[in-house]
Amino acid sequence: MMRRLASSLVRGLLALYPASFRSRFRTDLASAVEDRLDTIWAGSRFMAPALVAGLAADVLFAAVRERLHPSFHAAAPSTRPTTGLAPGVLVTAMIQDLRFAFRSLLRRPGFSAVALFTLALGVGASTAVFTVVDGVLLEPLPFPEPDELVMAWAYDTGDGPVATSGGLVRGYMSQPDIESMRDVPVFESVEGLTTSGATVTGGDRPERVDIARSTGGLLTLLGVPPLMGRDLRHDDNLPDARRAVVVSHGFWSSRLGADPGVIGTTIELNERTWEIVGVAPADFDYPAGTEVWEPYRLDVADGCGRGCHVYNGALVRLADGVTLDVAQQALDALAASLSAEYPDSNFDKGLQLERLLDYRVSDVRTGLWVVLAAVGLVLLIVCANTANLLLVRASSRGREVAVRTALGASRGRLFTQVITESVVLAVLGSAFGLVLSTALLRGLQVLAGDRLPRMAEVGIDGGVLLFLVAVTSVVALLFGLSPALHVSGRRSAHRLSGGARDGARAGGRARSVLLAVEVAFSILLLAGSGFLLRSLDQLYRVDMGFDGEDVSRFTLSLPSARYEDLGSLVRFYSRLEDELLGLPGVESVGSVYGAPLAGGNISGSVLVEGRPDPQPGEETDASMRPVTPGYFATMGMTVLRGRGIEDTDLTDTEPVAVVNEAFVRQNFPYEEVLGQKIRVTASFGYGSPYWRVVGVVGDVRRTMSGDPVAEVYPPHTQYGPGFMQVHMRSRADVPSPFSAARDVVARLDPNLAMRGVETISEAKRHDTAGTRLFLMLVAMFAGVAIVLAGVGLYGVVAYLVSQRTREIGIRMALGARSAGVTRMVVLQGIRPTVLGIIGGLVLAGFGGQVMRSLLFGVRPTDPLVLSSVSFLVLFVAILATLLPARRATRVSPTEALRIE
Amino acid sequence: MSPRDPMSPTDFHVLLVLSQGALYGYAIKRALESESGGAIDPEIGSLYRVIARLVSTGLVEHVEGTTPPAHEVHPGRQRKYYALTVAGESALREEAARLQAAVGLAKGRGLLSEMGP
Repeated sequence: MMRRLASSLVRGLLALYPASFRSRFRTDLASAVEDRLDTIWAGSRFMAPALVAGLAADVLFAAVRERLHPSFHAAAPSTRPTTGLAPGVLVTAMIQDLRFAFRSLLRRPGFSAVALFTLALGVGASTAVFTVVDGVLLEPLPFPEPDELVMAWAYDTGDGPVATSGGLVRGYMSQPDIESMRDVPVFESVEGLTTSGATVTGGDRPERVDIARSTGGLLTLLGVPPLMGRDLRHDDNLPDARRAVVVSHGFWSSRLGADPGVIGTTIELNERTWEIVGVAPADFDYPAGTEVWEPYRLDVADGCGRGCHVYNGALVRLADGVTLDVAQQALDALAASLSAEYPDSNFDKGLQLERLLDYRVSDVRTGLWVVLAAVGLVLLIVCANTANLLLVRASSRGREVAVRTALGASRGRLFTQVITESVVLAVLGSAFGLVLSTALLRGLQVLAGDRLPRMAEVGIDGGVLLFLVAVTSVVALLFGLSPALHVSGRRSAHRLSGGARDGARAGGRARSVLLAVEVAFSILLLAGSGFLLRSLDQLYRVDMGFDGEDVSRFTLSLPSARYEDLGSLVRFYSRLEDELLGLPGVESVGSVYGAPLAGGNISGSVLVEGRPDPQPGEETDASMRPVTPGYFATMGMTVLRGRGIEDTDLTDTEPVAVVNEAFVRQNFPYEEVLGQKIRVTASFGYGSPYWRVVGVVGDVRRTMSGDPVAEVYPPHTQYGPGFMQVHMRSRADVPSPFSAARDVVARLDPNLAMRGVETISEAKRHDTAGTRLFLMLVAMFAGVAIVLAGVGLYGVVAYLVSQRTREIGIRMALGARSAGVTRMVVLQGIRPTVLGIIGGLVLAGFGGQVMRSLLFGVRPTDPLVLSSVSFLVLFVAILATLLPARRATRVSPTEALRIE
Repeated sequence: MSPRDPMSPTDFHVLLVLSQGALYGYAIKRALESESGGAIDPEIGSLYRVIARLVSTGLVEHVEGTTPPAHEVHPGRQRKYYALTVAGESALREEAARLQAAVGLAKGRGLLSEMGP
């Protein structure tokens, strides 16, 4: 990537040589450049950016010198002795140019500061964001042969996916599904995988850790040797095998004291004893955050056949030379044959491959590209702005140039000097930019938190530095060349006599076009952040179906080793809720499995007593949310009809359930739902008879941007499970009840770890963190864009005013009123602004389409957003032109006439 | 033939490199670097201006049909080989003689030890 970039940069510079030189040497020169780049790349990666920059600068200077002092004459070899500039003379000339450039930049500190600020901002922001995008999206996974690594997901090919996330459907797979995949030769290895949590006990205090359960060794599949011991094997899954686990390097060093003799010792996990058979190396982090890898033991999934979907998906390594398409075809064939052979479990079940890298970044991909596009736009604005500044500068130098030409300076030498000035600006700008980018990257890392996968692995490296060099070289060329041609291309003698005015006309149009483009890009960026802001606003306005204000919660998971039957679970939670209710300030308490804005979901097909079982492919799904009696009241959910779950619903009373409106719409659109007997084919192992529907509650959303799904709420006393999210509503005027709740839990069972301790408001903030991150990034760039556009506008109008000083003075002398003059000047700046706004609105329409997946409840043509950004830009434009306009009205006629 | 102006060190070293046989651009750069002990090591852009100048003045010419060396890494790249012309060879000799005379003078004035590098 970097190699290609460097190559196209340097080869692009070859176009600057004179045509005669090019026709003779170009292909040869290009080969030599490639040779040189090969050598550079064979050397240290650290030095590469500097060497490439040196090469690019050398080619640039050689091309310019070749134009000034041709060394090559296409004609027959002349007998003229060689008089080309010797290196010594050249160096002297270069140093002279550099000195001159610094002096002239220092002479105009305002101009230099604005230009440097603009450049540093553009380069710094683009480098920081490119670093992130490079590290998160483009950098290969840290495993051998990363291209062979893919994920396999199950999905419903019939009506409606099993579960969806980030555009690709992701569902569940069974152990036999995995084994069938292993028989397909396009796969080198296949391991089923699911992530979960477990409580480690036996130490000072219980601790909740993230674990991965799999059909076998993930390290082996990924090609990473364990630090110590061995990886998991397929026979670790067998019911009679010893319980074996692999622990992470972090777990080993913090929890086990980095004991070198740890292999063969045991840990307590969910209150069962497991033998440590291996330790993963320090940099191994897959799935992200995992601390313990354990086999999915077949006794856990006992009696589970193809219908027992215990795995989230499968991690797959493709066989050598197999492409994703070929593998997908083979998998389609397998899915079709399984569907025909096992219609009970696999009917309409498709299998889909996705590259592991794509999967890991899928949630943030669109967002990152949008941010990268925002940076690109800012960079373009920076270029336009700087070019504008230099154009203004170049034409205001008209007289100086004319004088120096008259005194014998060669056209070429003037050209080199202007170019040198631009290069000095670019180099200084990128130096400041580098400092800025380091700071910005830190900021981004803090801002992103754990929202961006692999963010912690990101750091500014040689490749990104090279990107910086490439960007500044291009910028230097872009804005250095046009003023240079402007200077050397004019007939200077004419300008000596004509004053500074006539250059203004032609350059004026170019500047207006640049200005309009800048304004258009600013509109695009502002509209982008406007859309995101509106989305966020809409998200917060969404009626979640519950009142989460003053509700805090935590999660408990009772280990099945000690809480063996439903009775023990029910006793624990009812004692817990009683004690929590006694805490000061706590008004109500209720627990649920599968709370909104939290993990945990179990769903199954809906069966109705008295109706024939649905045909395969025609089932409807509902999620199970077992609750304790206080839950609906605690969450402020409304019971619309019938009753809620009550204290009288006990383990041995009639099985009942409450359903939500979505469930009614889905299953009983024309019938009375109350009194119907239903069941859902999902269970935690404690009874699943038919339940009588006794009530209907309002819909709640699981996530802020998701739609409500069909839900069934059975009483916890009849259904379990041991894993529950305990919610407490407390008075706003008392401090949060968390520490008191912790004491209660510790008193009831000292081996339990509280997890997911948060208020509902925190959960909401977490749910919108992604949108807020992208909003902040895009808004940051939009802010930069509008400042730059304002500066650009100001610069151009101020210049135009200075060019017209004499004319304005005469108008004033002839009785023009200052209001009229102000209007005239302001209008001059507003015209390109309005053109830019119109163009920007069109662009924003397209831009909004691109970022659609990031938006919620707002259309990319949202008139509120588009009109407010237009007015904002117009306002800034008027402000930027008013200053020079006011100066214009203060021109005194005598001064104006004397000025030339 | 009138005596020439002294050559630039880079021109001289390029000619010196080519006196060993025809070479392509990047190979000239590498040979220059090693023969001058790193003292003369122009980047590609500058080097081609020197080559172009030497071609223009007839001291060096582009030669056809040179077989690439066995260690050629990128057989696909189009390369031109450059070789000394007769004029180039005599210019090189003249310059070498001039330098030798200058070195002789320097030695005579005790600026160089006989054993020196």
